Amino acid sequence: MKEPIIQTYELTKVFKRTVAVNNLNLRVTSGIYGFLGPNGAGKTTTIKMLVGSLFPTAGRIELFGQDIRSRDSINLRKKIGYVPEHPTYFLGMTAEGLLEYVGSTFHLPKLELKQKITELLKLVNLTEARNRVILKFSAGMKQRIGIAQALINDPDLLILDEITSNLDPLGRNQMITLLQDLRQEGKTMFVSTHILPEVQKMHADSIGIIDHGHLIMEGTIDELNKKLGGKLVRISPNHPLFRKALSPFVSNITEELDTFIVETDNKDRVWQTIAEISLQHHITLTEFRSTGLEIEQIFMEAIDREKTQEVSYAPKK
Amino acid sequence: MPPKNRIAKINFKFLSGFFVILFLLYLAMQNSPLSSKSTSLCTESTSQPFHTSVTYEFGTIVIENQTIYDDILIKSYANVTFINSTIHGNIYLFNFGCLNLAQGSNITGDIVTSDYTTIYLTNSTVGGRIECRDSSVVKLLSCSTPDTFIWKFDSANLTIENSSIALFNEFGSAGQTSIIHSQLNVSLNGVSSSQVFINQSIIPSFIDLKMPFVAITGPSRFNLMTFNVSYSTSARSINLTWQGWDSPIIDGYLNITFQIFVNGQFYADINGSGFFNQYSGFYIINFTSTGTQNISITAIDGNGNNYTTMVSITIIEYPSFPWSIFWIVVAILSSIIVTAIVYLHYQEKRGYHSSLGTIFKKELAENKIKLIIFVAIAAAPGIILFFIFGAITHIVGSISIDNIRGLVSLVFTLFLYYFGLVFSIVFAANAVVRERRSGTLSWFLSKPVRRWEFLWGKILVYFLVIILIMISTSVAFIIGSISFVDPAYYSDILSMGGYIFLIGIVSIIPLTSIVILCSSIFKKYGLAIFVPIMLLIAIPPIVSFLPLVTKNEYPLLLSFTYYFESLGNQWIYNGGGLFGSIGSSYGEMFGITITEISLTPIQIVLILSSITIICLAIATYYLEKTDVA
Repeated sequence: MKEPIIQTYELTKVFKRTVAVNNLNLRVTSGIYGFLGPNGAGKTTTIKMLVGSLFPTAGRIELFGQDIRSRDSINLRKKIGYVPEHPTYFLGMTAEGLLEYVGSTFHLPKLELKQKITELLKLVNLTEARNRVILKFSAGMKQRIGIAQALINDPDLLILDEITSNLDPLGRNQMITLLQDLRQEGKTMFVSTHILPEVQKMHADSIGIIDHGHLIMEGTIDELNKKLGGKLVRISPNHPLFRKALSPFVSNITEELDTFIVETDNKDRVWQTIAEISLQHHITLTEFRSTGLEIEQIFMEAIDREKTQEVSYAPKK
Repeated sequence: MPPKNRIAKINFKFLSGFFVILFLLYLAMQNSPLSSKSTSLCTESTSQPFHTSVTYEFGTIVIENQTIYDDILIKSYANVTFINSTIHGNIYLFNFGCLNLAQGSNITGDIVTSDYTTIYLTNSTVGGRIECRDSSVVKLLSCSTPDTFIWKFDSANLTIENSSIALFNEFGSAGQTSIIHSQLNVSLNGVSSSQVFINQSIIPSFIDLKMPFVAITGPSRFNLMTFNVSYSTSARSINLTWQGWDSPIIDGYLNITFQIFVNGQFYADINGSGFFNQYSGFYIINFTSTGTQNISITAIDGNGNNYTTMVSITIIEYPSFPWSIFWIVVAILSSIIVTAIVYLHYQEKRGYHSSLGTIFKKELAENKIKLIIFVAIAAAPGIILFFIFGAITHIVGSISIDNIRGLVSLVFTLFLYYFGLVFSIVFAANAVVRERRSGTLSWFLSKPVRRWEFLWGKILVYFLVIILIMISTSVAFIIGSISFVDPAYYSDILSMGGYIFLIGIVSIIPLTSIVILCSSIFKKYGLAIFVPIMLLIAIPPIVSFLPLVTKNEYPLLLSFTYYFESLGNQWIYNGGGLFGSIGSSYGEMFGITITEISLTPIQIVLILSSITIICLAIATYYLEKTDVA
């Protein structure tokens, strides 16, 4: 079992009367971790606690196996790169000036820093704008300089908060490609977003879904499919005898031309029924397989479940 | 018709009564003492039938051995003489009227003059007061009238000779007063063009509010009197001038000698000269010590007559700036800074990284333009004073060290307070709150930067800027002032420069610390600016009035202006404050005795240092322990 890069224990943050994060237990190992949730779910609050700008009301955070409130927390931060949701760096600085300043907080040798700055500006395609003031940058450029500043210390962990929200489609694709490249370099990325298809495009290694401060689901996409999408079976051809036979014990039947999808808790019984009918009536079975969900469906399903649970837990009037 | 007859009967009774009263009044007038006239040249007219006042116009009248109960108006060239008479009313003189009150005459009321009128009082007494107005001429000769108050206004001319009166109160704008061989209390309140000569008189109480001590009137003889001029100066040498008139020691053209004694020690002999009975002299006296200096000037004429005038001058010594201690402190602070830098460098090699220097450099670079502007503005008072001193020197010929101290205290107390306020708001008000609001702080603290380093990197820049600003202010002042003073006062100018620097440092640093604290604890930008502005601008006038309620000045400790002024008063010029004294002044006005607080500079510096330490400690603690996002 891999050592976790990020691990939170009963992490809670309360603002006055609002519980923003509630007993959050996260475990992030490596690769890309998609941290999903609707607006106001507690994603940014969690991230700000991870980077140390907010103090947890309860619980604790470990990064690289070390408590972030330990005396050596400064050295922990040397392993982290953080890109905030709204890029508000020192806007009066030039791109190069900002990278120099941020680099100097890591005490990088001057020559190494200069070389690194050139590389990063090239990586985020801002070489031409290196002497321009950040204030005059477009939203996309600000996001890219944000990535560059987060990479200045060659971090092992990148914490990215809604980094694609201000980008155009082309910019988003470039960013996703960049993140995939970084994964190839062995970096761990904790990516918070509410734009779900991008997590799929990133091929996130694992996903955590948060709502109302609760982590409502966590795992790889396959694991989540098993949890949520395991009920669905795709059957072809779309024969009326099949549908008639299954209708007493499946909850939902969706027809798609020559195929139909049923939702069931008992796949074996569905298989047995379909097999018997096809043998009896000499119907050639062309497809019978469990089907997976799109990430958006997973997210919606998870949120719906959470709501249902909330309703069922709610006291009856 | 019955009604008609009745009216006729009433009218008849009414008319009869009226005429009877008129007849009785006529008889009363016939019995009045004024009815006996000594000359027919004077025209008498009565303004009322009851003779409550009598008016004399034109001509001459002599009234002897009479008692008069009316007010008397003498006008239009009338010349009225009273001999051995008593007047129980007041006498008013107008338009060239002339009054002679002679040989045992006395008046229980007032005598009031105006418009070129003349009064001669000989061997007479006045129970009320004598008001000498306009261009009147008043002469008292051998009048022993101990209850009389004489008020001199306008350009009246007055002579008091061989007389004894209660008080001579002078408010004149011109004219002369001569007091010879008389006994009276003197209070001089007019302007200097209204001259007063006192000679061989007994003056139990002498108050001269005309002007600061410039000239001694005399030498004259002030028997039984201590002539104490309340004059304070920080100058160690003064140009003492004196003039004498009507002195009996000179008769004709004589050589005279002035002997000057300082604190009882012979100081100088000066040969002077007089012409008829006027003489004058001057001498520069250099004082070797501070405190009260008693100077006496003895004028000796060719006949050996000598008369002495004394004056008391207080020489104030403002403290010299302790340059040696200052340089030691600078050396110690520099050593601490160098040691800290070396220590951090050494620690860095051992793996301890501090971003203090990085943040300091970045803040300094970011505030470069503001720094240049503020350092330039800080030199402005010095440059302005250069022109003011230049103008004064050009017009008057020289400028005294007292004037320099007074101007410096006023200009720099105001300047340092308001400049410090503007500086702290412009530099420090957004130190934390802006970056907290924008989210920059939350992002930046994800870097290996300690929270206190972020705050103190900025604070150290502000402190450096304050030091640079105060160097600019002090150096500009020294350069701007030094060319206008006597070389003997160069050390005073350097001292003032040093103290201006010190006042700025010890006052602006705590002021900035308050602003930094507000910037750290408030999460709204408006509050971070508004609260310190209210604290530093609204509180001084409010607390300066609080002594009226509390009857002591302790509320002033809440006001920064008090500290600025108090240090300025003790180190530069004791000229009173602009803010802190409001309460005391109003207290005096309302008759409330207010207990004053007097803190030594050390106590003030300790209070201000405590404010600084407390504010910065709270700001650091708050930033360390609270959320920044």
